[in-house]
Amino acid sequence: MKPPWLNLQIVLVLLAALWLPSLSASELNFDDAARIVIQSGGRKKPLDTFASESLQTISGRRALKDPQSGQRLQAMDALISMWSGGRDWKAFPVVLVSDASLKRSLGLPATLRLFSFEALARNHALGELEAQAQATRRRGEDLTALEKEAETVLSRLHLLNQILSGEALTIVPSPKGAKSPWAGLNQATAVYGEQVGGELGSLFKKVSDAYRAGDAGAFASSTREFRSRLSQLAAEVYPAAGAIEREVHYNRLHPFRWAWLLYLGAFFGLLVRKPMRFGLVLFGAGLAMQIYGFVLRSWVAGRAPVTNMYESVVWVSLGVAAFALGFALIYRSKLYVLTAAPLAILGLIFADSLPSVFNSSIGPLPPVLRDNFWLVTHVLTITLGYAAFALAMGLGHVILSLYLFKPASVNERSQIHQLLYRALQIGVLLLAVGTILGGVWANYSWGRFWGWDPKETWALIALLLYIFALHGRLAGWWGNFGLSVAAAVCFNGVLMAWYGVNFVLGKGLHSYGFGGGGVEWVAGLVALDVLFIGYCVAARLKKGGLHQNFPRLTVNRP
Amino acid sequence: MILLAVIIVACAVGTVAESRFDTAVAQAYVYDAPWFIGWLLLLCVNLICAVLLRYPWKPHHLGFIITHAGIVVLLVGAMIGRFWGVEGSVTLFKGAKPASSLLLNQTVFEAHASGLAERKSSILNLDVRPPSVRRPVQLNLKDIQISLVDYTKELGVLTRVEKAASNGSPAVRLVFRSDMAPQPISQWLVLGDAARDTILFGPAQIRFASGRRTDAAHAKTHFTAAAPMDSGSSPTAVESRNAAKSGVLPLPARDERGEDRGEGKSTKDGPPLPPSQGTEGEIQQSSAAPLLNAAAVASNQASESREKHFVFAKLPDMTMARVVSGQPTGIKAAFRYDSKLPENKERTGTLELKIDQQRFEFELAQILDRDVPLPGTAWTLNRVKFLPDFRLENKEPVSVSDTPNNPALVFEIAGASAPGEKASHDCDHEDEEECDHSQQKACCPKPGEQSPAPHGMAASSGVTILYGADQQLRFTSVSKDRKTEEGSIEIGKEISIGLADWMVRIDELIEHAAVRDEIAPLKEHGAQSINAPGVLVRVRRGAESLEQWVASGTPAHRSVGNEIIHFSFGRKVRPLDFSVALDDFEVERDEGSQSPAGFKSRVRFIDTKKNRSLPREIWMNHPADYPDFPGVSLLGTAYKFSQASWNPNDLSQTTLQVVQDPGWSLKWIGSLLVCGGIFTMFYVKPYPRRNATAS
Repeated sequence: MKPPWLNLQIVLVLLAALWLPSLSASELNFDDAARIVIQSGGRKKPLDTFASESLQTISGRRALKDPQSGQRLQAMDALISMWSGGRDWKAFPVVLVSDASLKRSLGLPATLRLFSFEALARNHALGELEAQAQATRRRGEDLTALEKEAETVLSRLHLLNQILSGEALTIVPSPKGAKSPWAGLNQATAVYGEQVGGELGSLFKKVSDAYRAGDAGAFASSTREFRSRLSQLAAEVYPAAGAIEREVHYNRLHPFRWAWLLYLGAFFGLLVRKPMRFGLVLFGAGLAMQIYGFVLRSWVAGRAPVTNMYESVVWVSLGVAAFALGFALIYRSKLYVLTAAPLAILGLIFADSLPSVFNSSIGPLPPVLRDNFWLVTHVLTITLGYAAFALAMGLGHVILSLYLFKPASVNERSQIHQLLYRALQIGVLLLAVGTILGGVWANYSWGRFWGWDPKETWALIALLLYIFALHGRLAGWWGNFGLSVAAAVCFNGVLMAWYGVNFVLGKGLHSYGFGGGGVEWVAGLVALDVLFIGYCVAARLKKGGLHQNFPRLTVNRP
Repeated sequence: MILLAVIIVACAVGTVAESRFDTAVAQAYVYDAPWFIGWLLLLCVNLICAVLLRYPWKPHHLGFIITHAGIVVLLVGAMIGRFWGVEGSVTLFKGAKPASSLLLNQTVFEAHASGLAERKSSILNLDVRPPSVRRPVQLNLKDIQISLVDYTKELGVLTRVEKAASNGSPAVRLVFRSDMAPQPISQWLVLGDAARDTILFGPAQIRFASGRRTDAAHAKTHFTAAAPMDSGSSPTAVESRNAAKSGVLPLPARDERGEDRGEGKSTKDGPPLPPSQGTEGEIQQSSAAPLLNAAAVASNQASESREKHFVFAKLPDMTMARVVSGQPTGIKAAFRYDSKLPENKERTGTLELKIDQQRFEFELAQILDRDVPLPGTAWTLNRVKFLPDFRLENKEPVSVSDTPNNPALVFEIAGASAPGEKASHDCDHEDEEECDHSQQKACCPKPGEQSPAPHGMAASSGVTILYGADQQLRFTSVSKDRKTEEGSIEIGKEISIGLADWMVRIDELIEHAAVRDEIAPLKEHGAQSINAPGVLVRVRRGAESLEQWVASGTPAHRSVGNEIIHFSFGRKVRPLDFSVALDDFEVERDEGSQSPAGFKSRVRFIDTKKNRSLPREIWMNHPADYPDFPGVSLLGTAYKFSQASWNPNDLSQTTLQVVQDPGWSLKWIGSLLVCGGIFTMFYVKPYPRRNATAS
């Protein structure tokens, strides 16, 4: 056994390695620029948020490589660079085209992901696809995947162009009331008259001059001046400094990244060290970090963040971690945490690293979702149910692996079976309650309790699958092995209800979570998983059927 | 027990398999199909058996019983709702008569004969099983066989023009041809028929008018207004005011347009103006009836003026303004937009405004969706909207797509003007300076009289075909660059219409035409959509047989022998014993954008018998129940009105979903039982005991 300090070292090195890329930056200080308030996407937010959202929309990245110096530009850096002009950003490859079939039909090289504005704007095939998409829409038909992708690329071009022209940067507050649209700098004169308009123009010129010169001192002072002048224009509609500060803090902290790093530490800690305490404390710290991030996000958004795929993945990871920690403490078993940690880590890494699939921006809700009580109860319950099933799925895999690789581990397995059963119970209860709550909400919102909407139906199917698995075991059709298989297989039902309805079917009334992307990945994972399970079952059948070795469930309460 | 699980699995597998089809059609096939309901019934029976088999029950069975009983109650509630519930909708209009009936989510076809008391109806499932020749829907009224043999999603009106015996207006069939168009387009024009004497062909307008035979040199180009709209849209009201002297007869005024507006607003066209003293080749702009709403009436007294402008990139020098309130501003606008740029996505274009001596030019990006004051004047430029593919729909300017086929800007000019100050500016028809289109000046209407409507703008090109008393055809045409051409036209001879390479020829002339509108599926060439689905009805009585399309919502009748048979087709109507009126409808928007954040309808429920009126507010997730005595929402016997949809182009209208579900209380109880039961099963009793008995 390795000495414990070695393990800790590994963890620290890993942490450092992961942290490193985000530390590189130019020497300019963007603190003040980041806190300039912009009205965009239906709310007021710091420029910091806008910068990272825009960059992720346009390039699908967190940072850009400076096309000239080769330096890494963080979002704010890139935004100011585009905004202040001086460089021909239209010539640099910054616009993401990710879809392989779109690249094919546009005649773009399949190996590249980023293309320049000019190259895409000149691409005739893209224009034709757009026209085709318009025609499809006019006919009242659904857009094809290719047309959708083309429109996405066009919206990226549009956003980039609007940033380059300054039109997208609506930072001049409107004195006409809290909800009236803000203006870009070039319309400041129209709103506030020549004098103020000129003043703002020259302030911004100072900022862009300092930026272009790379003068850190001048940049810091000019951004401060610019920001404070903007905030004085219409103080009554300008958001409180605290709110902006909070959002910048949330952006900078990356609580979810911290959380998964801590989970990773906990995982290795538990794997190697005998006493559970060290790992559990780390795990608890990760959970606390995630909860903190979640609370921050809710505070910034003014609502519970469970309205899109990104938020629900984060929430389910949180649920998995919380259940695991709770069970681990109740049943004194680190197995839960060991199973949960990889799931939570995977979920958070996916959410963190695939911004084009999981959109992390905080946007306004569609009208039907603006009723926090039902939204929170219904969605949180259902997704917590998903979390419990995810945990059960993980445990099922652990059991199957044990059957496969350690056939003698009867005791260990029966212990995990207990845990699995607990997780399934929680999941069934939560999913049933959540689905029914959804019915209650639907009754308020759509006027009917149940409408066989795909999302509803799939939630029901997932629930029925699990109920079937439990009944089958109860009826003696299969034993613990069967239940483990079921826990692993039935999760595909959850996956379909959760991901499939929104990203694959893309139909029905739960349209607010719809998106695209990642289908091939998910399908691949599912296929691999099915192969694995199939192999386990085959191996088991060879050895003598599903009924062999049917230990009665026993509870070992602490 | 095993059987029970089999049923659950079969049910799950059934839904899994079927919901993969996933469309609304598949839903109707599966979830409303008898086999599915039968399946659920079987499940119910099984659940009951499973519970009863456990008798005598022991304490640890509590959770198990509660759960399974809950499912049964839930299913029973669902079935009650399915068979006895009412699901429909009602669309309300502000200021309109209160609605006292619902449109149910059920399409029915009804037939009855005047002589017979009998009334037959059939519920149609058009998504799943539309009637067809192979699968007709049969209804029989005594010896009259009625069958529905076809269905179309969109009906159109097809104008049939045939030779009449003697009385009837002259009609010409025009054929338009372009090298760029795959096939020629043909269209009838009927003289003196307000709805059929003009067609709009892109920005060009083709009119059929009567005129004395005049010397070609004196023939006036008869120029009337035309918005650059697709030829498919309905003919707009156009009217000429010059003419009489120049050899063109005044055309019938479109009185019906004023009535369209309803409410008896003073929107009639003004009296015919004296003929213009214009010189040869002069083109005069006419103005059409004022558009829309009450605001237009409040003209003279208001010191705050608002004027709505429409400018088109295809007609960059055209000003079209409509006074909303106050005085005409006399502001001229021009819009330039290059839709050929690959960057047209970015909306590059300029708007030029001329106010008295001042000139303003804006980049499109600067002014879109913003309020921009015009320095040095009393005016602000408001609500600039860009419509890449302009079209008038329901008299509202909309963009039918994002492709810049017909880019237009709509905006408002608002500001304070001293009353009467601009009045002198009025468009006097004698005043050529003011109204001369060739000078690119706006034609400002007299306040209170009429102002140019969006459709009422001068066309840049067009053809007028004149039908002389001697049955000779003549034409005058104006191309985009305002070159006029005139002469006599023979049948078959092609002339340019001044738009790209489009040519028109007269294919046929009928001196006395009988015009009749025929309803047919839109597929048929030349038909104009009436935005309604329809069914083809075949009626047979003995040897007699006839066919007719019946449009949704429009009752029709045909006589067969001595019977008159009435048909109606559309959503089933359910009368209410109260009525509901819309007081107000509000749309809350997200800040800084036009995307809706919430909808709120303020309605009044009116009980005519008790003479009571109850105001309620309905918004998202906040339905209103009526009648609303306490506890009624739990019973589900009241009608529940919830906000369902809206019309972005008309904010005085709202659509509410209306549901009455007598099974609602059972659904509630069942849900609570299921949740409580699962909880009890898992957590109240230690499960090993349950497990021991079960296995």
